[in-house]
Amino acid sequence: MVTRKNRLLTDFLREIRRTYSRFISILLLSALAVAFLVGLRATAPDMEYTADNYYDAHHLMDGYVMSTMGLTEEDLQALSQADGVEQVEGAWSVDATAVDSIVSLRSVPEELNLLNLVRGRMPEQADECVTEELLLTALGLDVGDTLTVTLEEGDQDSLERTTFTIVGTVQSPLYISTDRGTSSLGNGSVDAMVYIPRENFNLDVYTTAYFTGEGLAQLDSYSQTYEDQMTALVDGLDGLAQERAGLRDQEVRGEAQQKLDDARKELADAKAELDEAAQELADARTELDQGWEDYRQGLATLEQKVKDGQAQLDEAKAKLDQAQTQYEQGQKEYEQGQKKYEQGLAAYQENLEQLDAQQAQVTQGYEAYWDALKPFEGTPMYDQMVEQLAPQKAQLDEAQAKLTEGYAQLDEVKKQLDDAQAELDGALSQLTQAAEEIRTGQEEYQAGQNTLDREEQQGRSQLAQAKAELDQGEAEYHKGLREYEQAKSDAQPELDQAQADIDQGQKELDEMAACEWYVLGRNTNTGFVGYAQDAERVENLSSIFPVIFFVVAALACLTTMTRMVEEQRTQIGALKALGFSRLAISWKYVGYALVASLVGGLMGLGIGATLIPAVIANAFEIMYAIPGLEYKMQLPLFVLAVLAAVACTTGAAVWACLSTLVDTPANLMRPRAPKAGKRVFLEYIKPLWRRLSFTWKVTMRNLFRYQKRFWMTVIGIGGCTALIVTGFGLHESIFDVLNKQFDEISQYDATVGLHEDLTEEQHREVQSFLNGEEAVDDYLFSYQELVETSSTGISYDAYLFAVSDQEEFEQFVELRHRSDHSQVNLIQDGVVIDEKLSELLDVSVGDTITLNGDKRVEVVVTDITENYVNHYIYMTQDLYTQLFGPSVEDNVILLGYRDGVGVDVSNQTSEALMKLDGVSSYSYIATIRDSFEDSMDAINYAVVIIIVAAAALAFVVLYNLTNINITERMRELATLKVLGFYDRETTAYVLRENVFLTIFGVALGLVLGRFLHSWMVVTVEVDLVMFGRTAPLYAYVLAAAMTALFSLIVNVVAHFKLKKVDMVESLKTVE
Amino acid sequence: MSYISFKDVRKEYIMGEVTIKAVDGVNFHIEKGEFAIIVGPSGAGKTTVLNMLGGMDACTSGEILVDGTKVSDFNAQQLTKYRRNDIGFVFQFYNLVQNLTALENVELAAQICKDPLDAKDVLEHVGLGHRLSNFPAQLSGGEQQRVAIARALAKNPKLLLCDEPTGALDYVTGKAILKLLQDTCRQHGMTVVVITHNTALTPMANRVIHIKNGRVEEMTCNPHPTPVEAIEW
Repeated sequence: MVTRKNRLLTDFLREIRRTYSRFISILLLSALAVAFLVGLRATAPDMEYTADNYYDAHHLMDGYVMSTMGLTEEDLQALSQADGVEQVEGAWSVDATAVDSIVSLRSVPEELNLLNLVRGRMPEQADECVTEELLLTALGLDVGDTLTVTLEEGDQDSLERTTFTIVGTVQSPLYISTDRGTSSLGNGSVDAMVYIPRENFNLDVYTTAYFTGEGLAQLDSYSQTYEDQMTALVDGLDGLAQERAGLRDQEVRGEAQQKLDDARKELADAKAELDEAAQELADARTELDQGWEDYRQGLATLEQKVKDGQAQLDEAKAKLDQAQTQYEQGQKEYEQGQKKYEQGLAAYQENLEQLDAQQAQVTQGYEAYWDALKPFEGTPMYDQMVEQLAPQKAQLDEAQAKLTEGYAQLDEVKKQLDDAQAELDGALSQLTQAAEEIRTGQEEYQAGQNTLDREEQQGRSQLAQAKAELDQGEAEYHKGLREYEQAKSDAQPELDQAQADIDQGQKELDEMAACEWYVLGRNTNTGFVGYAQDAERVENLSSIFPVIFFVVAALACLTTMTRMVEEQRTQIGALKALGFSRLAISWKYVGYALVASLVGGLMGLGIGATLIPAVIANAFEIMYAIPGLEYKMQLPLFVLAVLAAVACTTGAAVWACLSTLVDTPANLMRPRAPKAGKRVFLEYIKPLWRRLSFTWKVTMRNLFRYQKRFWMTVIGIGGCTALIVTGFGLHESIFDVLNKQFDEISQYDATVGLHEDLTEEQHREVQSFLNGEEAVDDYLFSYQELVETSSTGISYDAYLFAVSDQEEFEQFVELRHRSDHSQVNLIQDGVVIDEKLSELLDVSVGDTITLNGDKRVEVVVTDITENYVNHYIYMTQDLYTQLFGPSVEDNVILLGYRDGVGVDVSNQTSEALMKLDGVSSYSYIATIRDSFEDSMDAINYAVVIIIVAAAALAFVVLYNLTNINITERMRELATLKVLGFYDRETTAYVLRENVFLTIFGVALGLVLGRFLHSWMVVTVEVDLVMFGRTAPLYAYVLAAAMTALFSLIVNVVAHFKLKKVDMVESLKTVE
Repeated sequence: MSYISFKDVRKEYIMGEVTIKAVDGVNFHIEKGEFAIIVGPSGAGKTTVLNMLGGMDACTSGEILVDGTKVSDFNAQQLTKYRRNDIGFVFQFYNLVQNLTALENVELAAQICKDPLDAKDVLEHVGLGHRLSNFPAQLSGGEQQRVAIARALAKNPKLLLCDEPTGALDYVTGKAILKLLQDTCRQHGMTVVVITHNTALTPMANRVIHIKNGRVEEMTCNPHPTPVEAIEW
């Protein structure tokens, strides 16, 4: 029996060979679409898968604990027994300097965070170490060399040795990014890790405890499940953390207090001893003083007594003397009186004689008188005579009177003399008595004097004895005092020091913050998170791009397949008439599509799933120390992508076949009624229509006649243009923002962090340093603080600037609106926030946001400023003080260098600045910018892939569609040629349509691109960064130009193809 | 000197290793204003002859002269110019531009040549004055062929070449078309060359050229052609 050949199969194979360009174009389109879709979609999972494998293989911690007071064995024990914790490992670390690099010396991990050995071997001896490749490069060392580190003063005892032999280089899963954490040394950041055997550490407590959670390793590290479980584990350790921290706090505080108390007691004892001696001395002194006092008093009493006695004696003596004197006086007076009396008596005698004499005279006189008168008695002459004798008579009377008086007086005198005689007699007796008294007194006095003298003598001798005793006591005392003083002066500094130490210790202890445990999850690891974010960015990027790409490619396949079936209408009819089943007939076309799309899809899968992730991951390898990309078997994605490609193309074939096959063979074999011409709306605008030449009319009609093709072409071209716009736009958006941010908005070149309690002097010092720096152009002291901001939902970290003088501040930070670059003003009523933050918080001008810094405050947003990297909140200092507190202390310096100052000068300045007191950190903006650029590079790779792929797609689509356009109208074109159209006229006839389609497509693409770009930008963006929202003009121009160029190339190709159109075609029957 | 003359014209197609002689030394001539019919069975080479005469194809050897010009020496550019200005072509399947109305189809041809006739007049001449703004799809086959003839005539060509003009038409309509061609030839003195496999049509021609196996088998002249109406087939 002869095997019958399946001629349908022959036909099928010949068809492929004959139309290989179509076959290949479908194959390529499918390959491109699948490669692009799978490639971009698979990258992020591949990256995450690779990372996850790496983490699992090296037992990366799920979280770690750090305590302000270190971690003890018991802490670790408790931690390992906590729910959900699988494994715990304590680790030590200490920072040190190696030449000019800051290194962190770590204990070699044993169970967790295992090191990935790059070359060499792991340390075996205590004096061996492994480190990172970059440190070797930086220090010019190699494996086998010796590394010597310098510890800080306070850490001198923490290591056994500081010199190690480098035996290998490693990577740690803990540090996959370039960030190595912070250090208090140098410029504040760790440059590299050095791992040394554990026995080198002399520390009582662990620095860090790493732990893994039960069952977490099995999970995909970047999955939501992992995130949830890990967070739950970390949160679950909260209680333990508080408990252990409390215990540790008590322990440490207790120990410290105990030590302090002991010291205090010792000090007190020493002091008490001294005090006792002092007391003894003081007592002795008092006693001595008392003795002296007694002595002095005794002496005084004695002297007083002697003095008093003497005084009494002297008084008695004086009295005696006085009495003597009086007596002698009395004696004298008496003698004088006696004399006087005798004189008086004599005078009296004399006077009495005188008077008697005188009496006798007077009596004579009277007798004379009377005699004289007697004559005349009884005579007249008597009177006369009396008269005549009156004077004599008067004289005689007077004398008589006087004599009488004199006699009286003399009687008186006589009486006085008698009295005096009596007195004198009395006085004499008194004198005699007095003399007697004086004599007795004299005797008494003498006796008293004797007694006194005796007593004095006695007292004085007693006192002299006491004094001698006292003097001896005094000498002893002074000796004691000297000894005491010596001892005291010897001990005092020690005591003072001890006291000061104790005081300081106590103060420190009192001020010591309570022990706190920080339980942190893997999601706080910069490398881990950064990697995820970058992967996420690629993922975001891959969300819609490949889909659009896919759609465009599928559309082109669809058109091609539809066309193919249409072309072979007659043949289908013939086959049908021959009695082939529908299935058998359609098999050719469906198979054609299936083979092309399946082979293409598989090729695309092969290339896309390997090459694209590799290219993108390659970009990440610069930033992340994660060894070679591992491909994850993403079966659903792979199958879906290939299936989608196959389904689109094959589906189109099936659909075209079916719609054709329903027709009767007779109808099919008849030429299909050419698509009827239609009037287009333009024709109704008669004046315009009339002005159009035929070619234009035809063009217009054709454009609208084949609506399906029109839209397919327009969408195809539009999609590609949009992709290209987006590609270029993204590139620009990503890199332009860096220019805008770091050249236009943040115009400072470096920031210098200052200590919180910066003194005036330090401030001045820093200022004068900056004034003296040649390279420094300008600088501004300002206040910056990291705050959490929120409105209703999630909170975001933002840097808050309290601005004192906006005009000055504007020299360093440009505040402006993004759209028109008009100035943003800081006003008292509220804050200015950056645009991205306003989007994240979903607030606009006039809304209120919450700032969580030292205090939680609510504040109104008064304006929104252009900003791209990080988040910033600006407010006036007045508002800040109003909101947060009494004063604003400058804590940051914004530094502007002169033009052309590079990283070298920055490093020098940094070093010099860091040496100044009060300067805590320095960051150079260009470095930040570089790291941003690096992290954006990977996206850029993806963007380049997109641009190239979009361009390729645009080309293929255009080519394909033009091809179809030509083949479809071969007859018409041949007729035109027969009519005598020149080649260029024929080309123009078709080209005009293509030009129109391209223009429409490009126009649509530009509009689409604008939206796609905006959408893409927002999708690719991470929270911290705002990309440029508008694609630059050049993106549009380039996209349009590229599409136009492809269109041109395609048309040139088409021209040659048209030239080959055989006019004989026009004579053939319609196929 | 004849208006059109073929002198030992050959046309060979090289298909891989095989050389197919489509036309193998054809000699004939047609006078100006004649209604000529080239007749022969399928595959005889008549279409190749028409192609060469119409400037759509070059001959491998021999000489083709049209109105004293050696068309066989033309390059592609000159051939196009020749087709453009000197030839009016009527196809079996009309080959109208579907997107243009009857008038516009005629104008399309008219716009490219030096001295075109008024499109509307021509259409009226072929009896389609009332269908000027209809699209081909709205016209019957005969009407479409009339438009095609009008399109060819509007170019005011030196000769009108018709490839099986009635091939796709029914008898009556075909007859009407042939009449139109004959009338055009007579009234305007247009040189008309019709290709057909239908020998029944030969009486209406001034000159009949029989082609067989790539050669001219016989060329007969008919000084008194029969009007189309009188021919039955």
